[in-house]
Amino acid sequence: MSDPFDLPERDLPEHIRQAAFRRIMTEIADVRPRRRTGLAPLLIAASVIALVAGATIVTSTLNNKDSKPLNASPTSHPTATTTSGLNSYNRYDGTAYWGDSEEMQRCWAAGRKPDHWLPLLKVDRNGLIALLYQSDNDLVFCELTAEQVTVKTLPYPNPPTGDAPATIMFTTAQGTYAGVTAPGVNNLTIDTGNVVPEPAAVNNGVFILPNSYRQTDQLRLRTEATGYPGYAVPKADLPQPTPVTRTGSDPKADRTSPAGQRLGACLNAANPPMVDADWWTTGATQEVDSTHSIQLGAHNGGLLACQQNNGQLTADGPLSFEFVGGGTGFTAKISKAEHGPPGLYFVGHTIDAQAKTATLTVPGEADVTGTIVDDTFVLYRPHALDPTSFQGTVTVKNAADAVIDQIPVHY
Amino acid sequence: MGVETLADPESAPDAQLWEAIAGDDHAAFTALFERHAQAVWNYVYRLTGSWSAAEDVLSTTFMTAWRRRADVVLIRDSALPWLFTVAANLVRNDHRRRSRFLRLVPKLAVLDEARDHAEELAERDHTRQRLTKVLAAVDRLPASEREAVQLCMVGRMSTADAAQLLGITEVSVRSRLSRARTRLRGMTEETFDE
Repeated sequence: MSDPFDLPERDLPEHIRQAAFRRIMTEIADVRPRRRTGLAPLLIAASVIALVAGATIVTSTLNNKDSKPLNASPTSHPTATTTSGLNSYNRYDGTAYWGDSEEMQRCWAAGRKPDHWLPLLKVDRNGLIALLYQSDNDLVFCELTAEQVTVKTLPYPNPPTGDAPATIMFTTAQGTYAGVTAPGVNNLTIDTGNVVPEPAAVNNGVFILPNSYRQTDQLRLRTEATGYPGYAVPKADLPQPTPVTRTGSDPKADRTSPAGQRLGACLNAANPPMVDADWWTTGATQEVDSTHSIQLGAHNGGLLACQQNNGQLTADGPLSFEFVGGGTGFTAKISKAEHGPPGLYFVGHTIDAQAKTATLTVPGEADVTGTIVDDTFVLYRPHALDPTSFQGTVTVKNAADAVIDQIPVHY
Repeated sequence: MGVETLADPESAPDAQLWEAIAGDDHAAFTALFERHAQAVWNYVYRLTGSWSAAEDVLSTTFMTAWRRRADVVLIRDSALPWLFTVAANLVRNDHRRRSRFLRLVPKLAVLDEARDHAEELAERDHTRQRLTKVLAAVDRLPASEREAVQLCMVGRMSTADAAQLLGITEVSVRSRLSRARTRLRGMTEETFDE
């Protein structure tokens, strides 16, 4: 059998190179320099740390507590538009026709069951599904998370004219934007003015940018045609975030304990917003020193690490796991304060209810042990190891000190 | 911090480009893109078996690089290994999108069940399926071996270039690749050209 990596090598076609470059430069145009965080800089070796690029995407099977059988059917089956460039249709798993899905049933249960409906666009990101469909003369927006359903219906507007490439009709506290596009617009970037803008998914004359950034009152809309600076949305035209229509029966997480307060403050500051922020429960905590702490949070199978470092709050998650054992997954991060030595911390999750401790063992170094709290652990070393030669082991034990899991860590 | 621009970004080494990029030098960023776009594009194709995905991830990789320019310090001469890592994580995260983490633990890099039509077609391709299986196995390699595989087998980099990038001897790179091939054979029952 031949080498499975034996795939053809191609010269990058000029039109693809140019399209990619145009997209990149449109995105980065006039973006303010990023403020260094207390965690910067990361020291990057080739694969030292599994960098989570942009928003990490780990999610969930949506609950369906509200669902019930429905017989409504779509009016017709639109054909997906060919998309490219700034259009993030594929990036967010865009779907133009999705049938009588569980998602639709949740939307209808929280809103209204139409006799006929026309699916327009569905996207999926970070545990959030957002849909737009037409019902008679209305445009219906529906946003689903594991815990919440948000539905809003507005009269289907005429396409925008003049300079506006799109009309924002719906926004949510989860950082989702949706609306209609002007004729011929097949790509759209929404710029909130304070972070790198992101392209929306565009199809069937509508757009959705799911779980992006918190809304500001200085939004700009750009297309490949308009470029920078694009179209400044008048403040009066910006919709207020749509309130949640229905919330599931799961109780919100505690925010009264010190750990809960730390996690809550971190989630409140997170931008992009963490989906279902109020439901993230506290996990293990690491007090690095008087000004630096790491607080883990967990929800719906995901794990995040919140750091408070000299007053700077940073939410990192949901995390992907670089190292995986029989019932334990964890990843490593290098952190460095502006004026201190770099640190190395491992954050992980275990599915073994008997697990009590996790220990990082490095030959010639003192062990670092952490208690497993609500199935999570954090192991912090006060200084980073040489990332190009580090080898160690993370051992998970039960209350009787018996080894449950042992995972080698190689760099 | 003042903005410093390079006089001749096309001939500047990556590390110097990156310092300038951290200072918002668009010309330096353009030079970095021109230098590595083709390698990243082909790399993503081998990870996904999809030229359209390669186009999308190519853009996103360099946008990510720009976003992180103030946070990242290159500790090697070339930015390419880091760009490969970013691209691989983008691909991997897409694959992980729909599954709960706990379900993921025993089966990293399993593809989504729900795909658009084009992806379903690609999925039927025998080469694509084999590649998917092999890439899942690559994910389970020790990091040092995975790094060598990603550079040399997936990224088509010479062992000499990889050695220079990794700061190790070429013999060490070959050794890592040899060990990786042995492990991959055991995990996938595939053969790998030496």
